[in-house]
Amino acid sequence: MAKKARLIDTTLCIGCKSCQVACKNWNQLPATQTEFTGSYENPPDLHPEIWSRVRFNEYAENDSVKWYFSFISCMHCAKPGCMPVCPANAISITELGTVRVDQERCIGCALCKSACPFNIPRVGELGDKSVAWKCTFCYDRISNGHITACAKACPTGALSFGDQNDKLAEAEARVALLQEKGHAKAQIYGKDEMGGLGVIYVLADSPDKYGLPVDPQVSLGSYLWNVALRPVKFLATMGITIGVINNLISKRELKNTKNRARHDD
Amino acid sequence: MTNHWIDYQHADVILQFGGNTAENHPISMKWITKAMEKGGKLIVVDPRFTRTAAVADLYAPIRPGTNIAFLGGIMNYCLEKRLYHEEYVLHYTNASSLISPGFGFQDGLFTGAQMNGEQVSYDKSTWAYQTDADGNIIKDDSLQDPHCVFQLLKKHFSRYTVEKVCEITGCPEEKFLEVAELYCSTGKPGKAGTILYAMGVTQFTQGSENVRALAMLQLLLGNMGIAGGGVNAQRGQSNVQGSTDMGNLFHIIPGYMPCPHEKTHPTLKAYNDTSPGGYWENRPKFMVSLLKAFWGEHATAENDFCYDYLPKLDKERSHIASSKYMGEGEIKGMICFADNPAVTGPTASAKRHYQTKLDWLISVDIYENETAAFWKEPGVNPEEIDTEVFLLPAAMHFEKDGTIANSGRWIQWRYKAQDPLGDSKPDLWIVDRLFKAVRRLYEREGGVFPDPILKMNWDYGEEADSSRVAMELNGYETASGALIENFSKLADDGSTACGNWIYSGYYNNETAPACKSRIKETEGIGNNPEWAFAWPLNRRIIYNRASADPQGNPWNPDVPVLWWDSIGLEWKKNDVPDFNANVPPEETKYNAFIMTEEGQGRLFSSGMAEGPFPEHYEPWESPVPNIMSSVQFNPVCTIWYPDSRADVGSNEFPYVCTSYRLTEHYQSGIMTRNNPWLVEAMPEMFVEISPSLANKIGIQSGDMVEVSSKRGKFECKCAVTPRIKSLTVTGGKEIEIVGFFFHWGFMGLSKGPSGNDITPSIGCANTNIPEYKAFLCNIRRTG
Repeated sequence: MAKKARLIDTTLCIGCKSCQVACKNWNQLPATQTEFTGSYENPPDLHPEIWSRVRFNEYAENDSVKWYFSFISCMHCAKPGCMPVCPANAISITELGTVRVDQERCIGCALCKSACPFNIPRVGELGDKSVAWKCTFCYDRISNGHITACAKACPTGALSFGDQNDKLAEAEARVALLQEKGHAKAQIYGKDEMGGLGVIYVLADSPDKYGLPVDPQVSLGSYLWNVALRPVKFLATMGITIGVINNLISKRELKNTKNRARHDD
Repeated sequence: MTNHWIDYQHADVILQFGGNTAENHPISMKWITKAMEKGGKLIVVDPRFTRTAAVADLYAPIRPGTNIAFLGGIMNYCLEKRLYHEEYVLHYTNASSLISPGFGFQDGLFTGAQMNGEQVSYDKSTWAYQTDADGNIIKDDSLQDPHCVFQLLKKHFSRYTVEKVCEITGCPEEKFLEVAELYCSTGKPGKAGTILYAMGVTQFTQGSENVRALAMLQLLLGNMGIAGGGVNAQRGQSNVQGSTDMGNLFHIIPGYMPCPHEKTHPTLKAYNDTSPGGYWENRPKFMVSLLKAFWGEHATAENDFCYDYLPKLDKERSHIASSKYMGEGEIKGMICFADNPAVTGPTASAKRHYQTKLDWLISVDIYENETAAFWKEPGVNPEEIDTEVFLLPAAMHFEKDGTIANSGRWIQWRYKAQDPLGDSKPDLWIVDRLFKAVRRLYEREGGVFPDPILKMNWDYGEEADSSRVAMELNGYETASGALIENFSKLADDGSTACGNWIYSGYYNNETAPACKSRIKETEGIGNNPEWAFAWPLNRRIIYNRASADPQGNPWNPDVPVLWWDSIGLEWKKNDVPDFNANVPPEETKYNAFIMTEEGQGRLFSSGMAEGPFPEHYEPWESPVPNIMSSVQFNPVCTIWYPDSRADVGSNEFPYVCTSYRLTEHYQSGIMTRNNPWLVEAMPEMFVEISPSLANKIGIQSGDMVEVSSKRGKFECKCAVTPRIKSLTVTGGKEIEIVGFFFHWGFMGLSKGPSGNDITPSIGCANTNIPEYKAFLCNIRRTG
């Protein structure tokens, strides 16, 4: 099957957060407690129960204001930094090109998070263990012929979903049009980054203005881990697993202490 | 709206004025996007840089409460540079009509002003046309006569120079000029400009005059009646259009007929004698048919069709007035249907206190809202309140059948998707039971005036059926009960009944009523005539005769609404004609606006309380004196609470305050503040200020502040943002703006202060819609 992609035309985005809420709705992710800290942007970060969100990037430029909205979620890279570093081989690429975390295998070590140049996966609880969570690209929907929940909810067509080739062509046409209209900095993001992202952005300005890394790379640490230190990977994995288990035990103890404390109130 | 949502796509320029489509009507951004893809430009004029401004081509700031100055400035620019659509103006507006030589304007007042303290009432006798011996309006097609509307208009707005306008509005001159130039580019034949507005135009003491100024600008540019044009009110709720259609305002009854007043309309004849000209000549038919719908067989010619049963206004009964009477103990009971005035009313904290004067209160809502729970507001002692409160749980919109009418006047039937939760019931079920219970009481116990209730025609079935209500609204022949085709069949002799004339035709057969139709058009201009039903008569673009030139050629052949086929000698149609399409175009070239007596769009109108032309007055509370005249404030407004006003240029309340909405929350927040996902996305109440004001008073984003006005105060967090800027106005004064969201209250999952606790209880001189959008406040750091 053809590799799928999400096209995000930020020049059409109105920051309504329909995508963000639709993601929670479809995946039945409970709301987290947030607070207002000065921006419309909320929640402030990804979280085991927040797989996507909209960034509000506000800039005062001379006499004018720019307010750029950017949807942030797993990029579903063609060469994902997270996959090779996973000690439990829990991360794979599906036939639709989506990057999947197998929570059964996952040991919650969070190496995927540190290897991800976009800082996407988040480790949270699943029953008694910790596992990594992130956008599934609505694999359950798209493998049944539907579009992703975020694309379904977008009112302006800023966020759409389809075959990667089609979406790239659309993005290129759109950038050409924007440049023609005077947006000199209009550009595509995601075509070549990380071997090609499953998320293609049309930007009116440089990627950093949208909170996107200008030249995303797998970190040196991840490279060493993956390539140079492959021989000791198994041993290290054992070490991490034990560490994670220890961590879990202490967390559980902490939780019990907290519960006791609550009962004492 | 004169046009409809999908029609935005045809605009060459979209002027978002006093509205925020992206934030409050996000779904419709699709059509703005479509227009922009075709090269259309989006202009946003707003006190702050909004989410709509974020995707606009041009943004211009404006001081809250100065809309008429801004629009007057654009009209002056348009007239001075001759950018208006000359042929359109000559034929389709009253520009050439001569006005009484006695008419004039001096220092902020029109002729006929009778002083009553600082307030004024007008003798409108000079606001009239010159007529010949036969009563015909005298016209000057050269538009040169000093008494013709065009010259009077030019003279009036010549005072709105760029310098003056920018001094008043605070908009930088180059921005104002960019807006004027771009928008006036739609004055060329074949170009379309649409104006989208909302509460940033209406919620002022000159709200109606603001709308009128928009309409006048559209007439000058030839933007009425065409595809991609119009004056388009974006309604704040999916069915608020339906609500006003049905007369849920104090001054109108169903179908936009005036609410009868006991003094001016004591009899049906007196009421009918006030029918205006134009198509409104038919009003007696609509009125008699309405009375027949209400009282059926009891309504006869002999008893004036039970006109005496119809409640009459005794005095003003607007929201502000009614609240005042409630506070004074005159009103004993209140039913709030899906309404939460304890959060949304002006000076809301005072209004919550007024509720303690009620004997009983019924709240019909999907949650227990602040109005229903006023007795348990923090700081209130329930022991001191005797009001009996009934809370009736209502069904959600997808839990019941019926129609909604959208802003584009499309009436669409919606089917119930699921059964209501728990004991909650559809509104119709509740109204039906309530009416029947009240009638039983009258039957059993009698009363002062039982007949209007006992004789009411109430035949919607044992369990009220919304399709039977729809059939009554559509209208039927009283003898046979057969549904009538449309309102052209209505009569004033009692042979027809009709609950709302403008809806007539939407449910004229039981098998496939138009409001249930869902057929997308395959060719056409996006009017989708078989998708639902648009009132009146399924007309999608009102005044559409004006879409073609006097000879019947469409101004824009690419999106023709109607055009005259000079070979086949007939009108071709992409819409239902809003004129007599059985005659050649020459016969209707001076009658493109059939609802007015003169058949033309009114650049001069005697219908408004303030005067024939909009004139800038400062809001009730203003930081500056009015530089246009010595009349500071709209002289015809009713002053309800004179003591609750901050002085002009007040030091105590030095900042301009305005209110608005967020995408994440909706109205009083009852639906959204109880939704955890939306609360996560926008968790708390906050106000917004500029970096310069923040610097001045030592505030950082996220700090706690107290915002106060002459009427009260509240505390919440503060956002400091470059999206709000100080504006330089009259005399070089720097004006700072404080903006707040009115969504919060003390109930629900997300609780917060109600910003409306500090808004003023003063309203528009024509409708009394409150001036929520411009008043004075102070702000200081509290934590």
